[in-house]
Amino acid sequence: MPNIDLLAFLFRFPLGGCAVAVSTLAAKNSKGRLGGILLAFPAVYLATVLGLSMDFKGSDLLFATAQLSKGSFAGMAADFFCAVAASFLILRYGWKLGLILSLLLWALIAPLLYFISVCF
Amino acid sequence: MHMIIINFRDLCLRFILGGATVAGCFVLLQFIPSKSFAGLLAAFPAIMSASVIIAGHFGNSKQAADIALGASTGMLACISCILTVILCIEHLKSWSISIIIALLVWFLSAYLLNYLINVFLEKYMGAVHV
Repeated sequence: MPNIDLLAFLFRFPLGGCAVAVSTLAAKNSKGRLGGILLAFPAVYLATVLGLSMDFKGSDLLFATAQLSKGSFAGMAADFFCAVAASFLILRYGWKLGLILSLLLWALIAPLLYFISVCF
Repeated sequence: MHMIIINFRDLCLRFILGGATVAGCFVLLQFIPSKSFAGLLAAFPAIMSASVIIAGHFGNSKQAADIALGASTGMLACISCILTVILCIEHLKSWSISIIIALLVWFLSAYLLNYLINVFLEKYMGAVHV
């Protein structure tokens, strides 16, 4: 079992939290079309990539970011299906069950797309 | 001041959701040797889920469904952002420049896609989604 650096863990939590909270504030304060765009800001992805830059340097960093991005690509494609499914499921089953069902759908589609992308 | 107090609980929920996903992704990175699999979690729709929860809790399901539909165009923009990161890192070999270019691509494609879907909805459905 690898040792998890507690300091690194504690540092990442506010990093991700702030990225999400700040993009929410920006979305709330800009009216209309810009607000809708900021709703899907890749905050978690950016925070993770920034976190990588603390662990790796030079060509290792490039390699790690490229690897991480390939996984995120499959996850984002699943995000799209999840968002479209959510807009239908929420209208049909209400927001609580609809959101849970669409997140379950994401958890199913994301690994599936990942293994498909690894095979090709 | 009143607005800030209402938004505070909402912001706390987002802070916890965002922080938990990033920290969870970091833990997965330590356990799983394959970096790309941990990247899946980095694409967790944290802002969208938090927004849907808040819209559903304080408003109604129709508003929550509209938010999910609006987020789907943003997700397409995120896909183009990540493709840009992969391509730029391969060809430019510079980490910071790649991230900056990818963010610009994300903004431009999100703006364009959102504009296009609004035009489409107005023309064929007679409704304007934000």
